[in-house]
Amino acid sequence: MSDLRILDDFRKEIEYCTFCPKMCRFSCPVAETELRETVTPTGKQTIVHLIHKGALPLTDESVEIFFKCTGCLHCQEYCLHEIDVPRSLEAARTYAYREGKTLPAVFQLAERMRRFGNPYGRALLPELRKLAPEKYFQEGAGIVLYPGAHLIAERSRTLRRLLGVLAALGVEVFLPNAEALSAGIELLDAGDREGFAGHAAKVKKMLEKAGEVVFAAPQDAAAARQRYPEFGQALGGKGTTLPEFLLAHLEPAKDRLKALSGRKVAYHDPCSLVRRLDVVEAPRKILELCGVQIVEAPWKGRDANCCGAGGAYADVFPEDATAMARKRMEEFGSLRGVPLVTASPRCECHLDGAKADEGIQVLDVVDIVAESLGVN
Amino acid sequence: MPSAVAAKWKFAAPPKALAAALAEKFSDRPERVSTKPVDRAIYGRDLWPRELLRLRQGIPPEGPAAIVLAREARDVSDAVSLARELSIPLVPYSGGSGVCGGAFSVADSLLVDLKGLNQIRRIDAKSGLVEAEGGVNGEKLERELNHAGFTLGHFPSSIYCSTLGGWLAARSAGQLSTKYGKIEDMVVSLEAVLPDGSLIRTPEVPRSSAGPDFKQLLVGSEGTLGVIIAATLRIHRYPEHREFFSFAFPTWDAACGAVREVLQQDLKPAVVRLYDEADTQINAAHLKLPIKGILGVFVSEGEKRLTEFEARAVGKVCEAAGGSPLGEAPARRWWDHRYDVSYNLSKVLPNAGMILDTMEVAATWKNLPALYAGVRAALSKGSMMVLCHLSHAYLTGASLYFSVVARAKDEASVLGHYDGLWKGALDAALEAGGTVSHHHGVGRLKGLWMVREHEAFQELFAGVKERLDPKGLFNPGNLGLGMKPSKPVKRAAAKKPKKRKA
Repeated sequence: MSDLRILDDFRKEIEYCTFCPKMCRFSCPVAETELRETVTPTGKQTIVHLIHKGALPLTDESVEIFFKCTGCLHCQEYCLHEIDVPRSLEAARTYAYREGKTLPAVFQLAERMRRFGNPYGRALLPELRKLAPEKYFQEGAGIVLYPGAHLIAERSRTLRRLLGVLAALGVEVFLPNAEALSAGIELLDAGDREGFAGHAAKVKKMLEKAGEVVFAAPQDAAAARQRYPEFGQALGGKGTTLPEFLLAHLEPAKDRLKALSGRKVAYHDPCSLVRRLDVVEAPRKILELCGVQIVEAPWKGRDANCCGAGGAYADVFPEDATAMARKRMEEFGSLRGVPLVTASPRCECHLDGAKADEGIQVLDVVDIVAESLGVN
Repeated sequence: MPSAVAAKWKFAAPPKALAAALAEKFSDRPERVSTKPVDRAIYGRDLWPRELLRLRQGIPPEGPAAIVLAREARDVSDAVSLARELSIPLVPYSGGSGVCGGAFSVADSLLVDLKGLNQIRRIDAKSGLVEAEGGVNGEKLERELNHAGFTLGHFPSSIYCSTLGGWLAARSAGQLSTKYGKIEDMVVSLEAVLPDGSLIRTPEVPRSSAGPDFKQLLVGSEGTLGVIIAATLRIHRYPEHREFFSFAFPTWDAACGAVREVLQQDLKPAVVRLYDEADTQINAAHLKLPIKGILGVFVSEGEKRLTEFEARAVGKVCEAAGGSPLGEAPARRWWDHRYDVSYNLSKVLPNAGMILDTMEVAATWKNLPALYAGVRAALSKGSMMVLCHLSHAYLTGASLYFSVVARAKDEASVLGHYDGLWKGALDAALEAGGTVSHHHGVGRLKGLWMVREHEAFQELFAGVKERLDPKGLFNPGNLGLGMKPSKPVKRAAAKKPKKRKA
């Protein structure tokens, strides 16, 4: 199928948004960063509507609008009709991709994903194998820790600490042993549905023998839980998030945690974790077990503002995504001496890369747990 | 039947002189100018339902030719001076949430989007003030104030999509206005760019008798006299307590009488709302409660003992008027769903032939029964459903808010049907001695009726406009400027008193 019929399935969503009085506009991080009417959820869906109806052509300018979304789903929190705007825009991106009219940066992203199974455009398995001893790569029916591409490529210290924490807690895990180290949501972000279908099949095969899969990256967990079944690749109920898994193992061992009294950390909710997976409290409970005081932003939990890491937005519009991250960091007030902690390696990489002040420290919940447990 | 857009939209290149002038004036910030078709397709309208009907019919917007995405006051001043030099219309635009066509772009116009001017400059806890730029979103402003322990107290149902500048330009009112007042009561000082390009700022004082209150000239001017850049507003400490209470009244007149008595006893619950019988039945269905007659919902907020006292006092008045207490649930439900009405547009407007709109009028207590009967009858002539609630109450009168759903005989006759509904209802409002707009403003929709409502004062306003904007470039077509009334006003209030016998 290479025509507009893909948008027919989203007719209701597109029309409801087109005729909506923009009730979610203030929650859209793109609209609030670019401050341009066209990139409000209503504006974006109106452009899709006009293309769907043949009033506007598919041009570079209109295709750009399809990528003015981080997939954060904050808009749905303020939609009485629970419209999933990111899914409609995904359909529009798929249309553009199939027509061969998507943006160069997007083709490149899809190409990297197809070739290497991750968005970094290089083989990550050798890097993962250097990080952990051979015993972690024995295939079996145990628990597989799926670290995700960002943890391997950019946060290797946190990954080592995570393995140390789990070992200290007596939890045996295995690591994946094939080059499909992202669950593949980037392909849907790019509009490459066929690429995603193939990638999901690879990941499923790789995880077939696992008794349980723990996803360190919330976007991987969301992709596996919510999108794989649509492509016939359900993991059969396997797939938990790292904060939920860690909390379950830390609570019985809480006496072993050294309270980091007097320490403050600011906590940023990753969009995929809170709005796609509804995991709001687990990271906070973990931080509380470690004895730190949590500094909250005015927008938090399911209402947290996006940092700009999601979707293909940062690939296509890096400067705007950086501005979005800085805006999010400003919400916490001064972050000097107060580490910004989150529970998504993707958010961490993005926030770290975007910070305007080198004095700001961006950490994972795992880093705090490691310190509290005395794991280096 | 889903909406149909067939014809391809064509966007002519902006006039050469405009393109050249924009390139020169914004040469150091070209990213703040757009002439892209995708932007022009979106910016050409606000949320006037008539424009949404035209969108459904596949009719492209008339303008704008170009958009300036203002990030600082200098961008606005430059756009204004460019519009003046080239004699082209200038349209200020912020949330684009108006429902009367106040941010409608005429052909070849230059639109200035003010959302980039969105800083909350300061919260002055000592004086109880907030200074913010006009492009700040309403919900964001309120959340920031809440975080600092304050509230503005301004909660229009458009708060999610509207901006401070839009509230001021359209003379907005919020749902808690009985306690906190309307936007014109809240504003202490204004900063604006006038049509000659100058940036003015009115003094920041709690009150003044040094001549007229000039800032009020701009409040409600809908972009015809200047562009509001920023404002200072009074703020309140965040309320420590809320009391929710509800009553069922036997009749509309009894309910209105109770609310009048509440206000005239100088009680000020933040929320005072009455639903007519049709609207009450819709509320009753949502609540799964068998409510008969007229539903009244009230919310008091502030210091705990005072709100409890106020709730008891209001309750006494309501019971004396025949009201039966319904407890907290209806008022709490209203609170939880207080912005929901706006979402209905999505369900109705995509469907061919369908019309949905709202109308807010006001009159004194004496004229209110005639206003209710007259407007209801006029709207009922061409519609499937008319609902009404009393949305804001005063010592002297109240605002009535009508919601109307209609179906034209076919899509081709939709716009005529829509215009006919409005004409009948606005005529009826004037004939009952009411105002044609309580808080939505005028825009293009009500211009002719504004002229009839103000009579000689409209000429005074036109004189001010002539002095400030002699070429008539600022938001042309708004506020009835240049319009002549087609028939004299028949006002209930204009009746001569009977002569007394000697």
